[in-house]
This record gives sequence, structure tokens and C-alpha cells, in this order.
Amino acid sequence: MAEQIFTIVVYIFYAYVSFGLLFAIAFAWRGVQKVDRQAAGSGFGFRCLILPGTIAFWPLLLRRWLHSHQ
Amino acid sequence: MSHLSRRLRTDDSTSARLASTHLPGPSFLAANYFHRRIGSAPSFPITETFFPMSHQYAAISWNTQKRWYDIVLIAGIVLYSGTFIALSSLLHPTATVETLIIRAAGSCAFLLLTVVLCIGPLCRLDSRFLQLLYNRRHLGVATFLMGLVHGAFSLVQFHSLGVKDPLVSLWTSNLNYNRFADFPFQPLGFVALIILFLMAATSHDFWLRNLTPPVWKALHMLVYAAYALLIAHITLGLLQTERSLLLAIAVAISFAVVLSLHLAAAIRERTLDKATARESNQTFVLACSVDSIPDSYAKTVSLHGERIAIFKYAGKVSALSNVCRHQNGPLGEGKIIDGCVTCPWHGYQYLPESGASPPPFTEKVSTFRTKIIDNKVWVDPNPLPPGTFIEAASIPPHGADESQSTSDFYIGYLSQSPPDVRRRVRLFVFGSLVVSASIALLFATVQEHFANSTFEFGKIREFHGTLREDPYPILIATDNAEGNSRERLNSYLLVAPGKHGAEHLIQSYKGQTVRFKGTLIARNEGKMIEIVPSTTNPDSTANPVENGATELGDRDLAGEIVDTKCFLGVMNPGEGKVHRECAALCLAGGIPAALFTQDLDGIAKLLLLTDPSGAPLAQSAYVQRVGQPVRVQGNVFAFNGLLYIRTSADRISTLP
Repeated sequence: MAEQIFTIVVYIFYAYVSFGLLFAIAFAWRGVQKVDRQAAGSGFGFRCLILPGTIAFWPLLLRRWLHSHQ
Repeated sequence: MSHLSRRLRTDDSTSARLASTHLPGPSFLAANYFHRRIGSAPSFPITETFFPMSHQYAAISWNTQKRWYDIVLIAGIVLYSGTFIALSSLLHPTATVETLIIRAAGSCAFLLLTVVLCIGPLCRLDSRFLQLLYNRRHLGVATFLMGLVHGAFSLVQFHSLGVKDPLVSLWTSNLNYNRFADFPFQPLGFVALIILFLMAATSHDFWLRNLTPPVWKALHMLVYAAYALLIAHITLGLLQTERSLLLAIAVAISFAVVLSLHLAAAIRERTLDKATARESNQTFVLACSVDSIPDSYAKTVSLHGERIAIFKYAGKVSALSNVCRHQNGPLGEGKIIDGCVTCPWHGYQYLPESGASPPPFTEKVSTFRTKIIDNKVWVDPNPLPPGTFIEAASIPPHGADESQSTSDFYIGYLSQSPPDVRRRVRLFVFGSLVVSASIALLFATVQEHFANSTFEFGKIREFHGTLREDPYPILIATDNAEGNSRERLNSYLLVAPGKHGAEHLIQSYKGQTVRFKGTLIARNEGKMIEIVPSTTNPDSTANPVENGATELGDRDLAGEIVDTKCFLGVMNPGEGKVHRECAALCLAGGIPAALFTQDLDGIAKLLLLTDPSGAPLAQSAYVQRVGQPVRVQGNVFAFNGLLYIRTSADRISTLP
């Protein structure tokens, strides 16, 4: 039972990270300047630097990105 | 107050926010600094014309101090890891290189984290250590990277190539979560690594701004949780295998140093708080005497639970919140530079009378009303809204001698730090390197748990003999497969690559004489072959003479249940607490289980576990007792040069 629970949690973790990776690429490319005006015109290095954190915090940034459209 | 137009930010963030107004006179240094950061080459005076994108995240330029910081950091990591691996290889030639990398990276990460945690309180106790705080994020990221090397190698070594997903294996190979001594230590390290990752990934002002300072600060305070998890990880893991008292003492000392420095800093602040005057004049509270505040500096007081920094400058006194909006740095330990309160941590600046950053910056801190009566400073402890302008209280002429010198205040963007700071930091760095090298020597020397085993990784031999399954797959060979000139009977346990048994590879050849390719694994008299798949072919030339089974009687043995593949040499150490999770995964994959005992007639032996009928013992009978001291009762047989013990779940128990 415990093993099944851990297995489910681990696969949820994989799904979270996988979606986060896809989101992070799109966010660093198009979204970051809409969420944070200071990021407008920022270079490639800056966008690479925020990738790992974006993978971790993608739900927060996704919400802000969506709100920026509204 | 004429130089309100720039920010002396000296951290490694990439937010290069520049002033939008002219930077005359003494602003040259700061302007030059920004010039370097932005990577353009404007001529002075700097105007907004040159920096139209002043609110932008841009790469920061390097300066001499930053280069030295990182050079020393990298040199320290190389010195530590190199010393440990070189000496360990020399003293323990059978130790596998993966094990040494895992231990070098893990212990290095722990040492770095210890240093990271010491820097904060050290700076509170003595501002001459502030240079260490500058670029501390590089130290933090290096800590994570060394932890990542440790974690990645461990995950590959212990949890990959098995029947479970590596992360599932990490969490489920040892389910003794209800017993402290047997508690799985690897998940503790994994959680600590996740925390370090989150801290490293958000080590950028973009995250400070977008997570908001309170959330960002709370996230980074998790470093203490990570440190506690690592202490538990080491205590429940390495220290239960390498039982050197010196190693335990070294870990205890590092913990004691971190704890005592934090306590000392806390006690000092508490003492300062208590020393604050308690006289009250209606709304105003007596804070301190004017003379107790050094010119251009502050005195920090705690009034009604509020930390207030009272600055003396240009014949005036102003009070504002002690907490910097950037990373909660202690403004009261900063200095008035060019008319601005300058945070000692990363150079954020605020106007002393309004608590607002000079335009175009927007950070604001609370201000407090002040007045001076009889050369004493009185402060209204009720904070005014951040950015509220309050006219400074004027000091009678005798106390208004502001010094413009910045020689004793550390500024990160300058090419050199003040001599006193330089001396102190050099001493600290030299001491840290000596201590690190000593710990590497100590750690390499006290390791004892390496067996005299061999895994000929990458060396493929050809073997031939008879395949049997009694009940585990074995090869009985009568040739000189190991290059012996004299033929003799050899029994080899057989396994597949990775963490898998060899049943599926010999299924079609049971009882037949075969020839195949494989890699030899050996520890003392125990021998095993990792078969190269699809290389097995019938061979009629070999015809071994098998020995009959010899019953050695009922035995009551104490020892450890191991997976034979790792134990015989694929890993070193291939037993003990540090290897438990890997052993459980190997056994789940069909690697033969055995009892390693040193009590049978006083000689170390390996006894394969079977049930009373002679079939492989069910994993449920022993899987939660792997890698720990156990007592096994059963009937012992010798067959074809191998020992077996026929036992059952109720005859296996854990020893205290």
C-alpha cells in the first residue's frame, strides 16, 4: 500500500516537472516580459537563469501570465 | 544629499537598475560601477540618455573581488575533493570511484553549507566579515551543485537499472519509516537537495520581485531545514557504516559551530535590545545618547518590538526601519554614503529622512519621528507608513562631525576592500581551506568499510561449464577460466547486467554445458559472473564433475543479509546501512540473497538463503531486514563449493 502511494506521488512529481519544463521554455521565450516589465528586452542568459525556478514555480507564473492577458 | 541618484548594489543579482539623473562629483565611483555592469561605455556625466533601459535585468559585470571570491571558492572545492579522492584511492585501492565521488561531493556540500550558515551570524558579530556575505549566493549555488553531483551519482549507483523507477526505489526500498535507527536516510538527503535546488533556482532578483520579499525570504529560510535534514542524513547513513568516532566528532563540531554562532549573534542582539533606554516621554521613548552613534553610522535599538536604525549624519539624526526591503538586511549595520543609508549586505540605498529609495527606485521602509533633548535621542516607536518624510532632528554643533571616509566600510563594487576587512577575510579563508583539507584527510583516513573485492568492469572474458539452478543460477566450470594453469572446479553465481537475476538468460540452457561471455566479480573465495546477454551457446567440450551436497547441520548464525552481486564486488561497500536500499532493489530484481556471517567456525562465509524445500527464499521473509544485523537459524548445506542455509521467515530476526 505504502509503495503504491509513493509510486503515485513520484509519477505526479514527474508530470509536474515535465509540464513545468515545457511551460518554462514558453514562459522564458514569450511570457516573462508580460509578467515582469523589467524583463522586457532581457538577454538569453537571464532567460536561461530563470528556467529552473520556472519549472519549480510554474503554477504561480502561469496564473500571472493568464492575468496579464486580462 | 546631492547624490541620491544611484544604488550601490554590490550583490550578484542581475538587476542593473540605473539612475535617471545626473551623477556629478563623488558619484563617479558609482557611475563607473554601473558603467561596468551595463557593459556600455558612456562618457560622464551619466544621464538618462545613456541608460534608457535602466529598469532591466541585465548581466552583472565582474570585478576583482568577485573574481577572487569565485577563484577561492573553486580552488577550495578542488582542493577538498582532490585531496579526499587521491588519498582514499591510495589508502583504499579497492574502493570504487563512484563511491569516492559520492563521498567527496556529499561531504564537500555539507562543508560548504556549514560555511554558508556561519557567514550570516559572523557578519552580525563582526562587520569585517561582510566581504564573505558579498556573493554568498555563489557559495550557495556551489553547495547545491556539489549536492547535485552527490545525489545524481547516488541515484544512478543505488537506484537505477533495477525493476523500479529510481525515484520510486529511493522512497520505497526501505520502508522502515517507523523505526528511528533503521529510518531510510536517502529520502532525507533528497528533500534537502530539493530545498537547495529551490534556493539556487530562485537566487536571482527576478524571483525576489515575483515571489515577493516575504515569500522569498521564507523560502530561503528553509536552508535551516535542509541543514537539519543533512545532519540526520549523515547520522542515519554514513555514520552507521563508517563508525569512526573522529568522523562523528567532526560532524558534531560543525553543528556546534553553526549553532553557537547563531546563538552568539542572537544573544548579542538581545543584549543590545535590553540596553535600550526605557524612559518614556509620552509618545517618545529615550533611545540612546547622540554621542553613542558614530558619525555616518547608526545605532540599532529595539523599541516596542520594533527594530529601529538611528543614523547620525551631517549634524542630524534620522530613524528608520532596520529591515532592508531587498533581503531583510540589517540597515542599522550600514553606513551613510553620499547622503544615503546604504545596506551593508547588497548596497540598497534609502534616503534617511523619508526611507524611500532615490528615484527611479521604488523601495521604501518605515520612518520614525525623532527629537534630541539634552544630547539624547528620543524616538516615537510608532512606525510611519514606508516612505513618509520626517525632518531629521538637528544635533547641537559639538556632535555634528560627519566623516566622509568610506575606508572602513566594505563596498563590494570597489576593486579592493578596506585593509582591516581584507586581513580578517584572508585569515578566515586560509583557516577554512586548512580546516577543509584537514577534514578531507581525516575522512579519507578513517574509512574502513572497503572489502577486498573486484569487479572487472569493461573486461569481458569467456566462460564455459555446466549451467545449474540449485536454486540460484550457477555455472560449474572445470576449466582455467581465470588463467590458472591447473584445472579445478569453480562455482560461479550468475547474474544479468544491472540489478537483475540471470534466470531469463539461462532459461533455455538449464543443465546444459555452455559457453558464454561475461564479467568476473569476486570477493575472497566468492565468485560471480555478470553474463553478457545473447552470448550463451551450447558447448560439448566441458563436462564438469559435480560434488554432492554435504549437510553441515543446524546452525544459529548472526550476520547481515546482502545481495550477492553488490556484496561480491560491484559496489564497495556492498553491505551495511548505506547500501541497504540498493540491496533491496537488487534482491527485488532476482539477485541471489545471502547471509554474510563471520561466526561460522570463526571464518567469514556467504550462505545463500533458501526455504526449507531448497527453493529460493521468498523476499517477504527478509526484505525489511536487509543491511542490518540479523539472526538466522537453519540447516546448512555445502554444494558445488557454495554454502546454503535452509530457513524460513520465522527463523530470521533482527538483532538489536
